[in-house]
Amino acid sequence: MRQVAEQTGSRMRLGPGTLYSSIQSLLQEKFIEELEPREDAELGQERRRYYRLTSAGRKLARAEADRLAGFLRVARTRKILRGDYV
Amino acid sequence: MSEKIYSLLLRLFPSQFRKEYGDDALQLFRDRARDEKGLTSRLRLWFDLLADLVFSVPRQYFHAEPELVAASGQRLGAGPMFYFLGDERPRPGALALGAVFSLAALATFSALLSQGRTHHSRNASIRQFQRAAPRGASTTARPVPQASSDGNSPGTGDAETQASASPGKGHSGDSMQPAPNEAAVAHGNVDAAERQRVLDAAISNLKQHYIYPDVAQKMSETLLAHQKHGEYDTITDGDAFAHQLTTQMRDVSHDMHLELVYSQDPLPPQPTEQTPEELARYREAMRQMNCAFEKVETLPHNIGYLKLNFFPDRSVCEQTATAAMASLNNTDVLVIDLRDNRGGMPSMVALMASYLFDHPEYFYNPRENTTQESWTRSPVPENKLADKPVYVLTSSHTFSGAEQFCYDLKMLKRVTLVGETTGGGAHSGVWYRIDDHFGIGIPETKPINPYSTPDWEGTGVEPDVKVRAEDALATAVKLAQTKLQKK
Repeated sequence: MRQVAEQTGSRMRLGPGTLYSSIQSLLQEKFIEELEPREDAELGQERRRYYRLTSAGRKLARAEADRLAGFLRVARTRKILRGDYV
Repeated sequence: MSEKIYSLLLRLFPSQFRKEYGDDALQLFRDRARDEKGLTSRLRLWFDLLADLVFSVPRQYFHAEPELVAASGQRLGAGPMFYFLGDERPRPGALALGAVFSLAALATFSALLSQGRTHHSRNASIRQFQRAAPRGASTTARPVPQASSDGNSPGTGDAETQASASPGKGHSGDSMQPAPNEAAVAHGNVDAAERQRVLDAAISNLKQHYIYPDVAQKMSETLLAHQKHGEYDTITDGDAFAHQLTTQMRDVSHDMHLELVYSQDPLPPQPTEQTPEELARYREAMRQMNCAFEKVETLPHNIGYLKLNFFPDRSVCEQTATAAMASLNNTDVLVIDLRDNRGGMPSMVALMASYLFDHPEYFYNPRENTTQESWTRSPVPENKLADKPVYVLTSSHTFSGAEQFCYDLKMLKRVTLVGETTGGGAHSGVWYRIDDHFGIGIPETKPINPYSTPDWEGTGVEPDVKVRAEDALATAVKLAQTKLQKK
């Protein structure tokens, strides 16, 4: 959650409900998978769950990124957006 | 404290989701709460959480029951289906809450229903008021056609004619004492006591007077059963009450002449024996109008013409009738004009018919059982009309006793009817006054019709020669002339 907020400059703030709903959907679609629980010395007994992208998820994420990059190119040629980075 | 509130809010999510991610969500909350301190941050945290709940809770519920969506697409050709959407047993708290909500819904529903009923009855009373208003303004008493047509004195079926035509032997019947709450009844309000009184009187009159005692008994039982079911309890409108009783009596008896009548205006008292003064008034009225023999004359070609506008009481008008017939005694054809005749006394109907036969004929009267009076007094001494052709003129106004005259003579094939179909009034009940506002008409006789065709009740008597009433005389005269020429 914090990471999302930081990455988007607080423009996108995920609440627990939204986050876990999304995780649930992604799990069902097999775009992510849950890893075995592991001990984390720093966090002690607090339970943490870890997920990683599946190959299908990575593919989808790349396709989505390409789609967005396509939009960006269009935006640049039309001179809507300037600069190298977003 | 905040954590507790958030864990309560988490209960808004479906149990499946809570079980899976509840702890994690709470953990995330703890993390953020730990990091974001200070009023602004806290407010922002709660704003985020609430916004999150608003969007994600409904989404979770849609998400949680995909079976519902799937099921709706699967109902093809099959009967009803059941799906288990959750395998959890409901919590006792949820059951209790469900019970409370069901009871509340039930209570609200019944409360609304009863509210609706009072609303309806309020409307009904407004309707009654609106109905009562114009009636109250009118001064015309409700005409009761049977008012003076009792079992002994045959009726005309026409109240106006009857008032003048019949000296009427009274029928005291079962008339009850005026009700103590007349004022209330007069305003269209019938209370329980009045309903009881009317019902009792109706039942006792039915049992005492109705032609078929077993049917009377059945009707009484039906009325009492309806009363027991409380069907009359809410009726406060006199008209509605009378109408309901009438319908229920007819449902059993199928007798359309049974009628319970309500009158907003007080009903006239039950006719009693005629006083000498009344008889004297009647005699004088008859003298002035020549006992309704409007015209007695001989037309060209020796055609006798008699216009009689009602059949008056024989005991008062026999002399007039005899004189009229005597003056027509030498005519070759007789035309009897009943186009304006609204009925009258069967004794006079039979007397007039007596001149048309040379032997006693049974004269059917649908209102009376057979008596000595049911035969014509033929032959009449010195009468020469018994074998003469007779034409009777009719109109749609020809009614009641006049129709009896037409019907019987047509059935006996003694006359030719020329004109229009008659009015169609054959039967009548005997009128019994219950109180100032209620009365009941009960048929007391069921004479046997000697003819195979039904009598003229409701249908009228069909003429042999159908022409418009105003052309009837000319047509009859033409027919008479043709007949005379053939001789």
